[in-house]
Amino acid sequence: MTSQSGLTRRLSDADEIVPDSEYVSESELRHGSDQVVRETSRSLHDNDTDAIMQMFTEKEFETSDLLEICGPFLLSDTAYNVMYMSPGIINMIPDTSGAASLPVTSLFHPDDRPILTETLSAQTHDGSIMARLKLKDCSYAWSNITIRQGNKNIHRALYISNTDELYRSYITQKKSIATLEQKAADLTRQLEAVNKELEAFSYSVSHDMRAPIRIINGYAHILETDYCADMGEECRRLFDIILTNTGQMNQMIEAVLGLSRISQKELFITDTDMPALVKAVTDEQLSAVDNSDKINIETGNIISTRCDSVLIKCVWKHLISNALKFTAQEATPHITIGSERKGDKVVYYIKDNGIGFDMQYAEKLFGIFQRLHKRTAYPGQGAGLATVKRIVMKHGGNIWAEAGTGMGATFYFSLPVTDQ
Amino acid sequence: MENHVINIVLIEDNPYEAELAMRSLQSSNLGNSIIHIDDGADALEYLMHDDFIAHGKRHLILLDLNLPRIDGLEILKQMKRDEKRAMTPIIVLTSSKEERDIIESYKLGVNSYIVKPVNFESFVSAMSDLKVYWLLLNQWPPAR
Repeated sequence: MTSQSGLTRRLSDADEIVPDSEYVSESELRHGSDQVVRETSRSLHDNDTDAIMQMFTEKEFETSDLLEICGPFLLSDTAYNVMYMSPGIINMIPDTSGAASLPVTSLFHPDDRPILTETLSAQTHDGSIMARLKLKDCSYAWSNITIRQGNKNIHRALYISNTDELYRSYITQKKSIATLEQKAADLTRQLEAVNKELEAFSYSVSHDMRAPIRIINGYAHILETDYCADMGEECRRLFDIILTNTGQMNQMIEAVLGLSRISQKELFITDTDMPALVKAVTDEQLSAVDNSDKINIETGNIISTRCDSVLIKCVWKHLISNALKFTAQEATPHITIGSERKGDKVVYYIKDNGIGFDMQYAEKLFGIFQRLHKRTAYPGQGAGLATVKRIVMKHGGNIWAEAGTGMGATFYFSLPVTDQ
Repeated sequence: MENHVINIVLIEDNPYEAELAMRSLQSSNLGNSIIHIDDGADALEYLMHDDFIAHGKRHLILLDLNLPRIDGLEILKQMKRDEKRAMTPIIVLTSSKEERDIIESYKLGVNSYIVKPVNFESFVSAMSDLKVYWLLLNQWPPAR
């Protein structure tokens, strides 16, 4: 096909014919067509189109042969109704054999038809235009349409070029899209499998791993109460260690499960009255501490957003309870809560004047079971901020903190501003 | 009112869990008997036997979910769709807090779902409360 259109182009350009690998491969030349090239080359050299016409008149070639090897083109009347389509174009476009009349524009993309109509009707001389040709598979390929006026101005010839190339690149693109889709499907399947595994893991943690802990706790208890009634202080201390640790292990399992539940949970996004939510959590948390009368909580402008209010309440609960925990030793605990709109996000912050932390450990903050302070001084499993981070990330937001040792800490989290 | 001896059927495959549960159940004596079965298929055979529904017998079933051969949910399903056994109270006693286990159990008609506390003292007190509720407070369906 490439060699044929190449030849057509050479003929119509009335240019010098030389075997050119770009258009005609050597084997194709040897395969009978070199004769044609040699014989026509002399005439073309003389720019004598009459000689070519004579070849056709003398039936050296059938007109149909020429049409067969020509690229895609069509002939129309001056109103641009199709009168003839070359095999090159028929092979490319959807079947039109049933159509009573066929406007040229109907072969192209509906969006391109107005400009095409306009250009064609204004056409008083040869020219060209780009439009999307509808292909057999009902997809479209950009094509260059070259328009030639007939000598008697009763016909138009329209040559369509570049479609081959575009069609090929379109097919390649389609193939690569298909490959990508396949890859995406594979990845989704893998992800689903991993999720299932994770689910099975969390189930096993929930069900199977709790049993041995309960058994250790239970038997240690029986041993302590039934057989060690008169145990010494050291013996009691050792039992307490066993019991405390089984309790801790259980809490850690709960924390891991909590995290995995958040990952698996689908967000339930609603309009959330953030000031009310923050107030509710603040009141709740304050009622649980002893020194609430000394604590000063200042709430600034708190912007409402659309979010999963249950999960975001959990975020505030952890952040506010942390702020209370780490300011508990201060003479006058002071906590400021506020927010600020930054582009397409709202950044919320909670600032305290508590013990703060060394920024060099900041990246450990949000990891599960990570602690920046001694367990004995500040109880907890070290799962709160990991949970908070997971919730915020699930919303498409981010979380970070700024602090200094003994200088208080500020926690920030952002939530995207989403429309309904 | 007739006075029936209530038979507690503990279906639990882990022998240590079972021992702890038996200990807890025995710590408060409400005149009941206790039987322990450690396998799902054995349990179903016991429950489906004619003796089980003999006149005047009352049972309270404590059912673990993860059991060898036939799991707890299957036992629950078969009991609740059997006309003569459907009214026997079944309590799932498990470590699983998984939503799907809880939902599935209730869908199949479980009478109560209890997650065993890890702390033994809490477990003992839970078992004691459970007996008081089901054996004393709760009104049993009339004997057939």
